[in-house]
Formats: sequence, structure tokens, C-alpha cells
Amino acid sequence: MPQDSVVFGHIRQECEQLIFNVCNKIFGPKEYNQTQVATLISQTNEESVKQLLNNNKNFKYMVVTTAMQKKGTAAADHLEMTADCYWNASTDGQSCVRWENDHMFVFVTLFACAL
Amino acid sequence: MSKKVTQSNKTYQIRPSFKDKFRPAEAKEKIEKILREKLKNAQYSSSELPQWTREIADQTKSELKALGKDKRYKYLVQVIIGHNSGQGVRVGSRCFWDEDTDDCTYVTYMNDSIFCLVVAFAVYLY
Repeated sequence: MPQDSVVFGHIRQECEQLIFNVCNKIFGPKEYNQTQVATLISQTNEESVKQLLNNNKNFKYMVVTTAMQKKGTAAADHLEMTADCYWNASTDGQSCVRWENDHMFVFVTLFACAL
Repeated sequence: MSKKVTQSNKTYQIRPSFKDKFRPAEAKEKIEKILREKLKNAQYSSSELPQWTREIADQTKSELKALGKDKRYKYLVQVIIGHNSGQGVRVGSRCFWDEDTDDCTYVTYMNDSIFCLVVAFAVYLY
């Protein structure tokens, strides 16, 4: 049952959907504003972790949210993200959710380690 | 009748010992050194960026393992590199873990052409 799963691979799709919905709800059509975006990221993180835990308690979750302003030029809008992990590949996993609106990109990386 | 008492060697460890605990400050030093070596005077180049991120991530993970902390630690490293062109970037993280045993550290590096952020997590396996 997905609720009791101890393998991240089984719940990855649900987690991605949850995070995408959280981004939609919290960021919506907002513009990139230095002070405001810090609170938005905080809220996104909190809400994501809460919903992930509601969904499945068998993991330790680490959520990293990045928000980048869209500048419109090809060179400026280049961001590289890499993750390297030393864990149990059969039960643990990571997932990256990309979300954007007209003013910024939001990337949410989720790491889940099985308990 | 004498009874044989066998000594069990099993230790069900649920906490790292004090000296084997992950120390963020130590890890931070190592990561700063890696970034300084790799990105000193680096100029933005869209073809080389992916290679740099991979190398930094691999090296950081190896350094964390080499710190010699408790063998039951899992390490997660995320590297973000981008072009420093005046756009705003903000990164935040939230974790659900055991405050006693798990920890994280982050290191930033900037020059006039690129910015780099490395976030490293250490999670204990019970």
C-alpha cells in the first residue's frame, strides 16, 4: 500500500505531485521580490514537508527550494544543479520538481531517506 | 553442570558515539577548500558548467566519506552553479530528521562570473 511503502520509488510520483501543487498554491503568479521570495520559499518548504509526512511517515525528508528570477537572456537563465548521494539505492531516492511562472523559476529538490 | 555463557558481539546502535558524530564545521572547511581549488578564477562557460557541478559533487561526497564519521551515515550533496548576471536567486531548505544525529552544512562561493552553492546533508541510519 502506498501509505505504508518503505521504498521511495513507489511513492515518487505522489510526492512530485504534492510538491507541484504546493508551488502552485504558494507562488502562483507572484513576481520575484527579494524580501517576499524568502518567505515564500520558507512557506513552500514547510508545507511540502507537512504534506509529505501526511502522505508517508516512513522517511526522513530533506527539501531544498531554489527560486531564480527570470531575466530573459539565454546566458542569464542558466542554472546547473547536481546531486550526489551515498545511501541505500533500493529504498532511498531523490526527485526534482521544476515549476515556473512568467517572472521566475522554482526548483524543489526532495531527498528521502528510509527509516 | 556448568553453563556456558556466550558473549554476544552485537551492538544495536541507535546513536552515533560522540567522537563519530557528523560535525558540520569540519565538513564546511573541506567543502570550502574544494570550491576554492576548482572554481578559482573560473569564468562562466555553458558547456563546462555541467562538468564542474558533477566533479564538485563527486569530490564533496568522497571527502565526506573520508571524514571517517560513523559508518551508518548516509550523505547527500547538492551543487548549484549559475551565471552571475545580476538576477536574484534564493535557496532555502527544510528537513524532517532526528536533531541529535543528523545535520547539514552549506557553502557558497561567488566571483564576478559565477556563483556556486553546495549543500551537504548527513543522515543517520538506525
